[in-house]
Amino acid sequence: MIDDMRPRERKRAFLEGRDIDRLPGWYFPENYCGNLTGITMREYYLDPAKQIEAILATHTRWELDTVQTMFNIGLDLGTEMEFPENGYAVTSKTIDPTEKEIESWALDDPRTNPAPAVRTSWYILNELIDKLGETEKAEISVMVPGPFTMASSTIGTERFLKKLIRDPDYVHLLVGKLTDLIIEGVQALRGYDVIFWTGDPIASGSMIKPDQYRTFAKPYMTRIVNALKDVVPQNEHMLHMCGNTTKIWEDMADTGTQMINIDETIDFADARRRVGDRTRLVGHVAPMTMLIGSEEDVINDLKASIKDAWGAKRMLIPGFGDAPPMASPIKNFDALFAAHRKYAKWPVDPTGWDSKAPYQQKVTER
Amino acid sequence: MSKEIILQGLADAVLEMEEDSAADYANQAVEEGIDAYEAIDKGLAAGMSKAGDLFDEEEYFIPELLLCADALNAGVDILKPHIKVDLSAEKKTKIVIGVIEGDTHDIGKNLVKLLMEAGGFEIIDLGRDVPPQNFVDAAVEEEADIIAISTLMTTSMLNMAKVVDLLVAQGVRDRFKVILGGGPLSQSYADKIGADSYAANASDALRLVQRLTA
Repeated sequence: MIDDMRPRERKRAFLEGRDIDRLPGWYFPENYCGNLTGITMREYYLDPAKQIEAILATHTRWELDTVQTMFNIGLDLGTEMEFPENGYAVTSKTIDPTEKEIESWALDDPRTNPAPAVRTSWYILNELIDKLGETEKAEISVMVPGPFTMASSTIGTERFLKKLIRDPDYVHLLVGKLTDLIIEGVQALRGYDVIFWTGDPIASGSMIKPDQYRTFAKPYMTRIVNALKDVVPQNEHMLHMCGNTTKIWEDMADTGTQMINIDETIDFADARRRVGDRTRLVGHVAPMTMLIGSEEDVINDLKASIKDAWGAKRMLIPGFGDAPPMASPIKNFDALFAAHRKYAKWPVDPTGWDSKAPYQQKVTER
Repeated sequence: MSKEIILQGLADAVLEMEEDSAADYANQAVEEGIDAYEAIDKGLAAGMSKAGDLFDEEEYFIPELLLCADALNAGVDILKPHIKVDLSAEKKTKIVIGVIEGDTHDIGKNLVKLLMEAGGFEIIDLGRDVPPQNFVDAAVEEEADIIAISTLMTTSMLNMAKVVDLLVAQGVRDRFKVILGGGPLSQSYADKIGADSYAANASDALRLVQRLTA
């Protein structure tokens, strides 16, 4: 073991204001770890044994605090997914359900659902808990879908976004029903020692108005966060949002999430001032720096993140602002994780750090 | 109904996201014998351009722009068959646009295209998941001025660099400005791969091409 504390022990001590050996990190490079075992992203997503092997290889090399997997609630609505060789899975067929059809949607218990994707998801989760979680070698984080984004990929993003204006009742029915089903599905995780995170990228301030976020996304995300707290009370939740979230930080914090993970384009110092008393920030080493920066740039990115967030000391969990590209050189990952152990060592003191982050391009008002 | 009222009606219909109204005014324009090209340009496109301004002012977001686009298209569908073809007199700046191979997210690209069309540019839309070579072939064949490449995914970013590499390899890099757009990108990435510039959003993209062609 490289560190003096175990990840769960460190995170709890960090959150409770006790002494720690270093800041926790949230760096799991999901789309990158297949590089360590020479597999494609398609193999990573579709072959559970290969995915587990890649995750374990990532842990062996870097001893990251957190490893991550998805939780498939097993909702079969007739949409279809496509898995590109080296890209993220995309919805290749959407549906156009009536209100009556939406009301009739029901879920099979994920623990007994025979669908291959659900069984795969359970298998991976249990293997990771068995190999890393039970011995507290790493936190097992589980991605639970954001209902607004799930609604968008179910009926197609354009159709969905237009309905925010044309048919708000339909949107509430759709997002509300998916929220019910997600909450029902995650009950299967009761008693599991996992932490949760939710990504809701389509609800980003780059896509919709703050008012639309408050009306169509926030109430449902709040229900999800509360339900997850009920399922695993001792563990914390992280909300990830891409793009320009500047106008909705308070709303994100209102959902009750304990951590918000925002893009590197966001001003951390500003976020700290506005919501730092209610939630912690996770981020935001830039994917671009990982791809085209030098090892020194990567280290400076980390130091800049820490420095910007540092006004309230137990505020920041360094991590990626968003997923680093697969083609990023591995030396940048080695440099980043070594630098984290050096610069995030407790007590952290960023005073006097002259850290420029050349690839952190800050968002500007349109 | 006067020509001014019809042109204003077309613009307002787009701006106010009213598809039926756009179609009604387009039919009126045809009935009144208003030049179809002018009805599109000074009516519908003017409305879309105003919608772009509201996007710029953070009054409109993506849902509103998508509905403006529907209204625009409803009007264009009616007016297009009536365009008297003699556009050769006015050579527009030509832009080849597409989402790079490996990515199928095209909402952003479509909005950029609409605003650029409304801004008076001629757009050759290659669609999505477009192989790098196709950008080069289309730009050469169409004698384009600008190649605009989009992606939302970090996984497909590297294919953008291949477009620039192919332009260099074929000795035609100087003929085109290459601009990039999409969530994960930045000016530093554009610089790194030898593209000319980057735009953060649709209205930025319009300003960028206006600047590049000024």
